[in-house]
Amino acid sequence: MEIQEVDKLLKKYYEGLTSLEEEDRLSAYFKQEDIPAHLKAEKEMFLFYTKEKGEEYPAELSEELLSIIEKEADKSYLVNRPFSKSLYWISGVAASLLLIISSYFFLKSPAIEDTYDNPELAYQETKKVLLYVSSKLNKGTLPVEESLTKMVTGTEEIVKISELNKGLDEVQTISTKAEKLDALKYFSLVPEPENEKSKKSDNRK
Amino acid sequence: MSPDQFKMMVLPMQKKMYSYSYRLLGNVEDAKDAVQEVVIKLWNRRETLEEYRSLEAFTMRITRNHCLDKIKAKKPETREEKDLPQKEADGNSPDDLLERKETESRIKKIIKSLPENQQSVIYLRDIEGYDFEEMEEILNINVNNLRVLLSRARKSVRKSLSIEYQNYGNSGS
Repeated sequence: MEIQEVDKLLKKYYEGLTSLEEEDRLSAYFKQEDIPAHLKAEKEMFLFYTKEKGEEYPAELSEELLSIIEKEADKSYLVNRPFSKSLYWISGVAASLLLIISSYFFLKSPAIEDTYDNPELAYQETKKVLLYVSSKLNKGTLPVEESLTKMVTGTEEIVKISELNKGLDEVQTISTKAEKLDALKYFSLVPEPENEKSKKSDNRK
Repeated sequence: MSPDQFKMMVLPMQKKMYSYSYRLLGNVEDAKDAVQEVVIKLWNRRETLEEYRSLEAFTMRITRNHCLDKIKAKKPETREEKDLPQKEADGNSPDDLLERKETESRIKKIIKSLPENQQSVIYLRDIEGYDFEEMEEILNINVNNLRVLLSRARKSVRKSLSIEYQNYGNSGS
């Protein structure tokens, strides 16, 4: 490359106007040995940039990144995929199994077989069974009846309490009469309260 | 997206992710952590990755944002770490290789001293050779502003370098 062209490109370069291709040409130019003295700074600069591009890379980082990705992949696989998906799957299967089994038993149980050919016989048998049940039922109602009669006698006793009430009423009329008597006492027996008064004044001393 | 598909799409970008992180964060361990964290971020978005016009630009944008967050989170430390390697490399020996290394670390230091967006523009364009369309997506800056930014960054690298050369020349003679 002519030195004039280099100068021209460098001028563009410092204005930020060079294309990538022009910049490549410049850095190629500065790789050669004899560069004019006034371009020494540029030579150092371009050599530095070229060298920096191929800067060493810590080899272990590649493997570290790989294992990080694997770890993250495992993590998200555990979190997202099999757990939730298989959970849906398993619960679906369990629900349908439950449905099948329960409907099997449900449909099977109410199948009652007719054991009698003769309707008369069947009637007799049913009657017998119902009679038996009713006799048992009667036996069951017996203690209820007993306790009922006991309760009735109990309530008869309670009725007697009303008689006690009558007695109480009489007592009340007696007490009102007694009050009236007290009032009479107040008029007739005056000195009695005075005794009490003297007792109180003794206490004050 | 299956893990294998994801690997095929994302792993080819690991070197670019790493070197961008390394340039922004300034040390190997932080850069490695950043790449791992960004890969996990991408994995979490794996269902939408195919929607991006340029997955690489998107990845680089996430990488950059992630690193900038990290820098914000622990600013005082990274500042000091940046300066340490240069001091170690400073030694005066006539060895050509050593001189080369010194020059490299000097340029690195110059670039590091630029504002972050200028650093990114230099890295993405002059080192990694991204086109403006991709840079627009990564940095969220339009092409015209990108050119302005790039011009400013290139000029200041050149300027600092020639000042350094003068100083270096003066101290050397």
